[in-house]
Amino acid sequence: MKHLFSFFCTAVLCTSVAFAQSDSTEKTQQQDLDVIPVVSANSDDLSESISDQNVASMLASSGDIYAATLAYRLNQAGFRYRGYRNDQFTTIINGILINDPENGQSFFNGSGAFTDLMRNRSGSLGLLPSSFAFGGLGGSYNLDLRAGGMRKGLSLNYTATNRSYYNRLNGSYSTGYIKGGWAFTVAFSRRWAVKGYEPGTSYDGYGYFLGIEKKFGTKNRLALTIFGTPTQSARATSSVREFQQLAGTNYYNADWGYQNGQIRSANVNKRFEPTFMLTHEAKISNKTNIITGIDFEIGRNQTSNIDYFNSPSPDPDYYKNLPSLISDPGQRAMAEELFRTDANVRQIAWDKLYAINRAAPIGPNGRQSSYILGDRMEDNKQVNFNTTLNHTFYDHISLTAGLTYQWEKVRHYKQVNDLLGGDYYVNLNDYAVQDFPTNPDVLQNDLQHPNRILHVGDAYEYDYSSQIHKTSVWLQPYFKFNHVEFFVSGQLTHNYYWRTGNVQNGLYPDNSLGDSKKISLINYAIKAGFQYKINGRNYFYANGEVKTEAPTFNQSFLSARIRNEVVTGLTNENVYAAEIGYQYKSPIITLKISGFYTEFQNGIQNRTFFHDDYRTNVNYSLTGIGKRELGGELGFDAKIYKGFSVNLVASGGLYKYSSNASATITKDNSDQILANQTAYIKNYYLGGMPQVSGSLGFKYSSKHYWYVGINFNYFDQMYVEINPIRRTLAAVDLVDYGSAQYNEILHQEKLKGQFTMDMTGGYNLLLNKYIHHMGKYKYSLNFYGTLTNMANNRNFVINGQEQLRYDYGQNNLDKFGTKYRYMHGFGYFVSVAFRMQ
Amino acid sequence: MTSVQIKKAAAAVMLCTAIVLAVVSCKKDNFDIPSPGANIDPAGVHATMTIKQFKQAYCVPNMNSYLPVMLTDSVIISGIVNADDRSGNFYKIISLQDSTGGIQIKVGSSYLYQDYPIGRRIFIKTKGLLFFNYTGTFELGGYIDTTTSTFPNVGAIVIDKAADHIIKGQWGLDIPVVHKTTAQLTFNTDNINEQSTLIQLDDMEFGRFDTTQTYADAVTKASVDRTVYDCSNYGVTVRSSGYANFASLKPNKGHGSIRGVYTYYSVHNVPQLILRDTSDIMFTNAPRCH
Repeated sequence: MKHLFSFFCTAVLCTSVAFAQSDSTEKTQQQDLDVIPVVSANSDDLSESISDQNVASMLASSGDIYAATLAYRLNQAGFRYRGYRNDQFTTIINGILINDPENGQSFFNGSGAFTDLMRNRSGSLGLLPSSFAFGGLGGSYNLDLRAGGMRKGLSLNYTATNRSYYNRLNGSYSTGYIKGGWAFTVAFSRRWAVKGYEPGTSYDGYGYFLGIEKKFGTKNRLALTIFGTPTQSARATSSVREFQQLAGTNYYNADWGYQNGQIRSANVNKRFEPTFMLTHEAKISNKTNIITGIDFEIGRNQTSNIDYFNSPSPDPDYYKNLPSLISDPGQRAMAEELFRTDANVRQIAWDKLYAINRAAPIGPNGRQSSYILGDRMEDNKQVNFNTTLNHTFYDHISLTAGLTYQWEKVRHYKQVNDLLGGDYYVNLNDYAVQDFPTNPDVLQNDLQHPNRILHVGDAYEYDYSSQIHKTSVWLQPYFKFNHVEFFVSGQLTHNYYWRTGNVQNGLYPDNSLGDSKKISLINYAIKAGFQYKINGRNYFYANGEVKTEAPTFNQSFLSARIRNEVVTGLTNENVYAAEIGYQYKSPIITLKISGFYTEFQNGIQNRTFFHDDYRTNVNYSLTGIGKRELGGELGFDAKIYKGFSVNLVASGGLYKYSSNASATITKDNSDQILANQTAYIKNYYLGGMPQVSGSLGFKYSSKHYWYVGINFNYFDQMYVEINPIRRTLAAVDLVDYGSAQYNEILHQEKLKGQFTMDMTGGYNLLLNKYIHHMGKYKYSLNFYGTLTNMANNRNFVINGQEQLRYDYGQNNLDKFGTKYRYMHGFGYFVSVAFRMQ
Repeated sequence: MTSVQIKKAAAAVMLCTAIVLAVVSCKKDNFDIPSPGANIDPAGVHATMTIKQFKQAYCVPNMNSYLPVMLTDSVIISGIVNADDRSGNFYKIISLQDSTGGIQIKVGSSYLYQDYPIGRRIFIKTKGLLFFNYTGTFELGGYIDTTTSTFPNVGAIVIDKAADHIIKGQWGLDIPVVHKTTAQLTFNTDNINEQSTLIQLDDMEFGRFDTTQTYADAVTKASVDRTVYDCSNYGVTVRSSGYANFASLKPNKGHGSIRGVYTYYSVHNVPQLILRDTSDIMFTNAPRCH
């Protein structure tokens, strides 16, 4: 299950009214990192923005107020549980581990579509043990989509919202167990927005779901689950402040333009990854349960962008279009005015691109396009196998054990989508030309088919496959006594993966085609913890974990798009984590307080960006990255009086880089190591999330099946994500040590703390009361609504990222400025559901 | 909810809030950023020869060679950059000098001043570079270039290899200026060492005709020679590139001191001055000699 967009948006808040949070992650941050179109979408990068959303349902499912509030109230500002990225959360569906082996991401692509089917779930938070998975640092999440467990009856739901989609229709019908032990569920979903929240965005998604289950006797269940969510969406990317200001909106999106007066987006994502799951569960006895599942996925994820050959960038927000770079004030004012007033300057000038392509001289193959629309393709095949045993020896000792095998193969390549009025395109690397004027081979993206003429549907530029085998076993004995419960668990994982080049690149004729070195890494994880029950209401717990983690596929290769070169000094990451907590639970008051500490050592990051002077992509391989995340959490909920309750959650953390990193710099078009540098990132804050956040909520629940709540949320200690190369010797070369400019270069921008206010309410109307003669069925209407960011704060930066490029020449920080993503303004999500059961 | 419970709850909430705030307030905003970029020379890199010694060892034996010569010894020279490409008058060339002499090095970038500006000490690992006598001016380059002329000459070091050969050192250093007279620029015995150093000539002025013309041809980009004269009417060529940002300007009509990098063009058998930019002309309104 490859990609990470979307999230588990449901939560069963009161009745079974599905609450889908903003699905705005369908539009991801990834484009922000994509400083230039040639950089492929790096799945690792995607995680940053996805994690918060994706993890939401996991938090909610853990059943504590702290987590649930985090999920729904804090999530909108990019809150990340304990600062963790998405890969620190484990997701199990129907007994099968579905975290993507290529990058560890936890993602279920049906989450936005089948909210009414996601009732059977459980979760464990942090380092607490669970009975279904070893779990990541953030916890684990177990979703049961088997037909037998679905609530019987018909459900139809319509939702109106103003997020990445504006309308959603979904419906499901479940039979429950019928004669012969069979159970069936069918569901569909449709989500769409002709125009999304940001200008130029749109959404068009479908979903289908079929679940068949057969129960054999009382002990065996066999379930087949098939689902898929073919989705097409036009996305938005964030931009630098100068362009946002000139455009007059913080939601400025450069990815679209007018073609014959019609809006057309260049950034269109299409994804369809059909999934087939087979799950067998044997309840051998009251004491022994084995659940085994296998899952197949075959799919494709593609995202378009404009490519160009020997021509200026068509991107309206290309840095060279920044008026501030123009020194002549008159010219600058003119450029600013043009950007403000001319949609063809501010947005992609499709008509102009067509005109340029059509004006090309006619050769033997017709006209060569200077600009084309290309798709970054990811064709993936995946198999996940998982078996988990739970056995209770006697009252005090139980054992959970599991075995997982995952295989994934992803072919990454580019494909011509539209020649934009021309007749063909050529498969050449126009950057290499400048560096090796005397060696024509370097131009060739595919040496075996030199100068290949491309038409729509042809693969070009890069073409490689990643292949990953990941096997793990884990064991978790659990001991339970009157006052004390404790566990020790261990996991061993074998990672075996490599790259296969499908083309021979002219720059690396000897190191691009065929299989790379096969990387084999063994990882362990040991986790232990105990819980002390002072009495039935007071608990104290402490857990700790030590583990190593293999680098992801993308972290392992210097430039996976074109070459087989493995990062020098490839090594496992060491992770140490601990948490302590206290919990008080009474019928009236729930209180949870905890502290956590996590240390990551020897992390790896690969960053590819365009280098001005070299006129090519440069790869920065950062090794030895250390991160430290510590903090405290508070969750409090009290039922004050007759249905009124108050709750408070807060999370305060200190998330920083804890060591400097070594940067090895290479160019995409030569073998030469340009430099080994130190990135002085120690003590910089981890960016892209609020490190302090809290929410105070009041809720009233009526006996008459309705409730209403209001939440006041606060977010602070948010920092811009730093560009490590701005903290190197090279970046401050020729800058006076300690001068204002020097400090400015090294400075990390802190984003403004912000308040938001949300309201939520729901009502469940039983229809049987009003309409008689409805037979044995129960009919109900559920109304649900949530209003977010009620003050319509449109100046809330929830993510700022320094671009990876750096202006070494002039140290002009605005040339490749920070890109800002803003929280959507006032949002609504209202739904009505009809249920017959 | 009883009042005892409320009190208990309130106490617990306050306690926990205090703890959370305590954790949060541990943050220091004045965190210690390690400090890259102190302006110092790199540790462990030293010149093994002065520029004069280097020239004696490699230039002199090859003085009459018109072919580039590969340098194979592990020799490091160091000097302060006395001319860069900021104005465009030098193109893909930097010139450096130490107390004993100067030399030029060709590097394939048009933004050399961003890395190797005037006043920066650099260390050159000469092994693997080529020495070339370019019509009397001695250069180091990266490869033998046979494409630009009938005769082989040296091509610029490609930019990604530059860091292997040129180590950056302290910057912002002053370049000692040697005052010369036109009579001293005879370019005989000591020209090998003095060439490519920064010199200053005093009491000079451009020829009357020269002041009516531009420094170079900014349109065709051709280099042009102008002449500065002393009061005894001895002239020195000032050669400027059509790519220089001052190419379309006319030389100052005043009188005074002029600085430049001292080079030699054997075809005309004349010494030349190359300006870094027009601030090298320090003329005043003092009366002209001619």
